[in-house]
Amino acid sequence: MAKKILVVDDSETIRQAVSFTLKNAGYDTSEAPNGLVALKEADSGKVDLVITDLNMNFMDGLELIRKLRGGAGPNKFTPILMLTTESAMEKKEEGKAAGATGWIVKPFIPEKLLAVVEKVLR
Amino acid sequence: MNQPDLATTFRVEAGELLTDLEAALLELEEQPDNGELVGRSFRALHTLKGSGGMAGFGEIVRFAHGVESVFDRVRNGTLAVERELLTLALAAKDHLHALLNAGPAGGEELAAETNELLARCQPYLGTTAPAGTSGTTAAPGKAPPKAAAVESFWVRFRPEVNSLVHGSDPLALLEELAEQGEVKACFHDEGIPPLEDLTPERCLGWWDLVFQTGHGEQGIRDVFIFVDEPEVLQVQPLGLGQVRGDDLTRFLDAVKKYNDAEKAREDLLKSIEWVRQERTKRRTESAGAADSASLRVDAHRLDKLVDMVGELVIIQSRLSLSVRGAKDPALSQLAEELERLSDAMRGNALGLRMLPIGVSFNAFKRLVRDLAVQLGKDADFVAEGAETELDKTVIDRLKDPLLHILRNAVDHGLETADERMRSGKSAQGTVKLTATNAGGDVLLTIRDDGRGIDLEKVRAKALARGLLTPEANPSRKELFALLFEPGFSTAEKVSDVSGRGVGMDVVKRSIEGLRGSVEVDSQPGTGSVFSIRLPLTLAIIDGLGVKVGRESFIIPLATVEACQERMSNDGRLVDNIPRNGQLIPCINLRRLLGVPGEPPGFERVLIARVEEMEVGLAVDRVVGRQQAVIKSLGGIYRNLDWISGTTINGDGGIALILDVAQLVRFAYAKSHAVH
Repeated sequence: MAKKILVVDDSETIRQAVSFTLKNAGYDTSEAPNGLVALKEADSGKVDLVITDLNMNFMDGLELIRKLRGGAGPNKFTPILMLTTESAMEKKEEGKAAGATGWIVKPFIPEKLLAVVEKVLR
Repeated sequence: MNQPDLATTFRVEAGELLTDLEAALLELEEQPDNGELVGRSFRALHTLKGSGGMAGFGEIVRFAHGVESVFDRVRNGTLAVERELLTLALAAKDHLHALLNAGPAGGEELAAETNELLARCQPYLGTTAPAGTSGTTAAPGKAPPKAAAVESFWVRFRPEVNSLVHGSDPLALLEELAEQGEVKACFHDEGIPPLEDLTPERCLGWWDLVFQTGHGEQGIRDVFIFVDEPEVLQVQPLGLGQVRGDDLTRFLDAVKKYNDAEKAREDLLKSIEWVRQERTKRRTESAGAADSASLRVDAHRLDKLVDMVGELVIIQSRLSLSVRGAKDPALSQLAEELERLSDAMRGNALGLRMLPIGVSFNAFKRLVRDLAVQLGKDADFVAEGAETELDKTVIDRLKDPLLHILRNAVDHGLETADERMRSGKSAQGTVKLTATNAGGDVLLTIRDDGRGIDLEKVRAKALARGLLTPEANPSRKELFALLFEPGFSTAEKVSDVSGRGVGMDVVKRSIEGLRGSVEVDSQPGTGSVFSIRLPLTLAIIDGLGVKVGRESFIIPLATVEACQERMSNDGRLVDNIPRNGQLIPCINLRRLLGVPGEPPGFERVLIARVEEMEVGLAVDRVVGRQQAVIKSLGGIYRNLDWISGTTINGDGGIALILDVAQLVRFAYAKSHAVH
């Protein structure tokens, strides 16, 4: 069965780019524009991976990660990758402390994205 | 050291280097990207150049240098391995051989050829450095496409307590790491509480790993891509390059004792130092060991040893015989021990002469390749069973017949690529040589997937040549056997490759000279198979001991078909005996060899098969089967071709080993002379 990946970003472009790459590689994806929607989606069923942006309206990525890790939902142990920009590398530590598994630096090339995804899903 | 000695040593060494060079070149043809093979070729040429200079082979130095320069460029990736280059390199190898055979003086013709070949090397050398001018051949261009060297690391991995909660599984990381190289791991469970206090979400154990990888430190960092805190991950290069598996264990033992990373590191450094010292020691020792691990022994000295062991076995059996009469238990025990020892010794001594047949496979591979190129065919040579052992003499004398059969297979057997495609075969033909042990013999088969042999053509040709009468109705097997008749050739045209059909009978004769046999089978359209059966060694013969009067003879068991009994005849040299409803000639050995004495009332007749014909040999009695160690007769008796050697019986008497085919010829000549 295809692995299910939840892609969270407020930028439509990024969401599409990420989803497109993942779908081409045979993954099943769902999308959410912010943490709030994502959390709802995540609480409704187990996914294999969450890829989330950090800066978003309504609920940002860090909050989403904390909520997922702290709650009792089906995705408590699910790997979470955060999308960060190079200039925001200090966010990396914050994300890790919140419970992120790893990160992908924007902008990224599809191969890199897939390599990282494959790695956390193994 | 004086000059001639050096030259001899160099000749032997160079011969081996050239063989190795050729093997490497041929393998390169199949694996053009194999850097190790390029390195091997380069080293062979380099060594030749170096030692050739020492031994005074100036021309070899000049030539090898030029070719080496080409390979230097291949080695550092400036030149690609391709067919023309290999063809040139193989030609160069042949020329080196010629130079080697010509000796230090060389000759003008050879020098001319050297120049010509060096000129052919020139295009490969680029424009900068003309061949043969300088010792440094630093080729310009890109860096060598190096395979990352193997390095060893110590990795201490203490996953964060909540790493499972954070979605990363430490085990997955370790598995990923293990895919990159050889890992020895130690799991530390000291921090894990008893089961009742355990929270499975918390990750409390940690690992020490000693790791050998070709991907470098970056490879490790890539695995732990999301881990960069030094308290979680420590990576320490060991700085030793490749190490042995038990050294890895040693390092692991050193680090795992210490929770404190600094202390662990200290102990690790001590271990590394120890391994380093051991290594130096080992290297010095192995340099000494290499000298004794294999040594070159003059073949004559080996033969002499085998000979002496043969004598020893004989003396031992005489001893056993006399001891049996003496009825002294202590003595018989000694004799028994000696018997065991000398048996083992004989086996060992004969084993010294055995070589894997693979030593000659290179020449075959080369032949098939060159022939195929010459004839515009596409042929692959596959050899199996290179490890099969045969007496060195047999291997040497087998080479020519095998070459002939292979030549035939490529020239007459295999079709051109077009023809093959038309008949639905792959464009590339295959010639396959297989060597296996079959019973006490070695079985060689040469199989091609070519057009096969047309039996009708064979029959027609045999009729035309008068080898077959029109009314004869030969079996399939008999028809194939005709191929080995003198003067038979099925090729429509005579080519300079396979010759004029003078070959196959020679092939058969040389193989029979090795006490072997050869036959051929074929299916039109699918190919032919030549099967050669050979004895393991020429030093021992499995024979049947017989007596005529007081004389002992050995008849090779392979030729004996049956044994009959009859009333002694009137002493005629040749008469007839019935066998399977037919009369076959019977030779009276007593008469033929002039053995004095009267025949017994009943005599034994051994039925021997000689060249598809049965012949009886009348003797007084059959002693039994005997493994005879062959001792050759001196030069004086060389013209007695019906004796293939002598052996000494257990009782100390001498037995002549008979060559039955020659014996029959001898009897035939003698009976005609009488009439």
